[in-house]
Amino acid sequence: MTIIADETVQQDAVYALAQSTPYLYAARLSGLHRSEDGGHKWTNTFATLERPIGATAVAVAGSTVFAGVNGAVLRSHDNGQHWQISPLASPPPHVVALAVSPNLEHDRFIAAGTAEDGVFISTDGGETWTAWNFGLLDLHIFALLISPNFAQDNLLFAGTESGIFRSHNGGRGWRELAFPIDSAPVLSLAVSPNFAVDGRMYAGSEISGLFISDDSGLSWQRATNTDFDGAVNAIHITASKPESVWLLAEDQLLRSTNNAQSWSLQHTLPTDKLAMAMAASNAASEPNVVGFADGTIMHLS
Amino acid sequence: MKAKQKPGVVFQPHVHRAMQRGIRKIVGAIRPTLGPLACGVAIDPLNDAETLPEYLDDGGLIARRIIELADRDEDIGAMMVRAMLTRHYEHVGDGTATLAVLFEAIFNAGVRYITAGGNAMQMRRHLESAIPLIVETLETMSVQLDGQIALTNMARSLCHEEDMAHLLGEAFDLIGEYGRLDIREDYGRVLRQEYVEGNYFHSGMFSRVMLPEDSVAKARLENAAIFLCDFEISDHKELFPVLQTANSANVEALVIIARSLSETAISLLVTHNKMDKFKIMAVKLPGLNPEDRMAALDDLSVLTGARPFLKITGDSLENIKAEHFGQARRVWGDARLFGMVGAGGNPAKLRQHVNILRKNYKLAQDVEDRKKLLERIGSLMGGSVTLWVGGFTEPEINSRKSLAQRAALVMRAAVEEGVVPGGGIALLRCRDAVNKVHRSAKDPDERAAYGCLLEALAAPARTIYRNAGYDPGEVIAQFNGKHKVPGFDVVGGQVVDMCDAGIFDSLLVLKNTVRNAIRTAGLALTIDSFVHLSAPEIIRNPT
Repeated sequence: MTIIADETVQQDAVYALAQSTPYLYAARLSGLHRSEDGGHKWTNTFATLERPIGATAVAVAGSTVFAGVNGAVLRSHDNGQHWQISPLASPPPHVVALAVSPNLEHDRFIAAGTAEDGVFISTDGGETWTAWNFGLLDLHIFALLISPNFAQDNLLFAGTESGIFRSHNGGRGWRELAFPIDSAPVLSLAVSPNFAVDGRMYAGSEISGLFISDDSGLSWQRATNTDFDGAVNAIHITASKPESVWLLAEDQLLRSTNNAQSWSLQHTLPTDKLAMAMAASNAASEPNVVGFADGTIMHLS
Repeated sequence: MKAKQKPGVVFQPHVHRAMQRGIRKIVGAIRPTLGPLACGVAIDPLNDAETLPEYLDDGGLIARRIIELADRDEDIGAMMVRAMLTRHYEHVGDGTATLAVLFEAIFNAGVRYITAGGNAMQMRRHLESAIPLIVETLETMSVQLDGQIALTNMARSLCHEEDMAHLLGEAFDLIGEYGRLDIREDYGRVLRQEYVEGNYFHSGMFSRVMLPEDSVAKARLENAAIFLCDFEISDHKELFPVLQTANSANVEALVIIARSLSETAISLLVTHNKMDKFKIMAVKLPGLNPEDRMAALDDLSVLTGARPFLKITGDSLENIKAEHFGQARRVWGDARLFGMVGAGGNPAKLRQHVNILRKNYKLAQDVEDRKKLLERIGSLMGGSVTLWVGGFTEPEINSRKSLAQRAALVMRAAVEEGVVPGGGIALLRCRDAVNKVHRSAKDPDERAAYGCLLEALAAPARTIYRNAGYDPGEVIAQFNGKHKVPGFDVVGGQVVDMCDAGIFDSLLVLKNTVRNAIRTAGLALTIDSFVHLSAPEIIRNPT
């Protein structure tokens, strides 16, 4: 286990990690950082901007990178070398989650979840954004998830302060799902690569651990076979191994190799740091990079 | 003395025959309007040679126009149907022609049995006992409308207008069963749709003087604190604690929602706005009566997180603290409306509040109560759609607006409870369930009641085929096992699977239609005599 501290930044935090071979991206208070060596060395891609901006969300599709910042979404079509900015409506919304369509080249669809202003949608590759919050009774977004089968089912999910909402029309209208309101907020969402067939979804709550749905989110059951019931800050499913599910709790990394039927502790994380995000250093591998609230990034060996 | 005004008592068999004649006349006027290839009805205007006849194709409106029949015995039957249809039209919005046809078929079959010596009261009891069976059978056929295409198909089958169907389908895909859809007249010639972000209320600013100088239409504030009360503020000094608290809390903007503000209070706020501190907007508390105002306070409090100051509880503005303010990211107001985007109340409480309103809406029986509850839910849902209805002439605009309103009512019901195969097929398929109880029934009155229903349940489909120029017997004979839900598409002129073809009726509408038809026909069958009262002289000869 290697801890990589960014020496140039005194106060930092890692909000999100994203991977697009061969790069790893980290949305940090100090900007959007990029690593070309699987998470060992990082450079701030926002260093070329006129003034320092903190990145709070990141999403990647090939060489196109989207970074959520306070009041805007930045996009780069060259792996973060050059950036274009698209402001959101005033007062500036704080972008906390981004979800990119699996068919971005065709539908140019991106969704941005904000801390207080609900969900913004772009259908032109991130150039313009519109708030679409019909039926979204909770505008405090923590997680956004787009269906891997989006071209067919148009499904989009939002984890919020009070539960989970689902849109069946690409984020234009929302309906609340039967997620127990007492177990909210929902911090993380993940979906099975075979979602179109099995309808399996995972939701990580702040106070009640993991929840599972096998009907595309319509109903949820609490996973009782995990040894913890705290916050699940991130969930990762390896595309090549759909039965392999990873959970990032505040101080531990758990793994299930049998579709969340049983879990094993993979890594114990430092208790004095709050683990915020995880990612795999390449598309085929298991998660091996974890980001913390104090700005450190840990490479798991 | 006219025949109409003579007192008298009328007995059987004249009672049922006269009622049948009256019912035949009013249902006969409505029957041609059933189905997609239906005809209309021209209404001759009263005492006005210059006015053109009114063209109607809606059963509910036609029934409303039939004020009375010349024969007073026939009039009793006709008015019974009229009352049933107008009530159904107001509550449900659609299905009046189906209701008329179904009612007449049950009544005629029932009269035949009673004339042959059957017991009317027993028959009524057995007819009504079949309602749950038919309703449950309809529910088993129900499917949920999912997606814009299915909703547009449903809208098309209601309004038969492509543009309107497209816009209604899109609107209901967004707003769902509880969202707000306003249908308004437009000066243009076409239909258009407008999306309104956030929540808005039918109540405006206290004074146009409060509108900013650079804007003639709307005042807008960002990151506003919300002060909520039901006070009638007559002395401007009453507002001092509110302004001082807002100032101490360093708010960026303040919205005052109160029942009324005096001229001096408004002047104080306008003067304050001219100073370079935080901006203020003052809007009227929505609601025309205490009950509506209390509901608005409740909704706004949950939505924004504001603690409402109430006159009835003896609240004083002297006690206001910064934590009593609610929050909203954006607030706007004009002379008629005010709204907000990103209201800062507790989302869990808001969802619970909306769920309670939804439950109350489902339980409410009164039409006005349901309307108010729906409006309250709609105003909290985070967005709404306005459908602007244009046209070449005023009558065309009015007609299209009325059509859109009726279609929207049925669409909402369809989204709420689902849909069943349309074109009379759902009722036709209920005959299997009724046939089972018919075969097992031993009591002759019971058998007769189920027999009436077997006949009547086929009547709407047969009428649709006849109206479209087809022979009902020949059409029904073509239904076979090739399709899962066979039916006849009268527009395409072929047997199709009704679900695949997207030909649906609203389950809620159909359930209400069945209940109304059977209950009213059962009641009508038990009428055994008429008593005609003599009208007092003053009514006969008003001077």
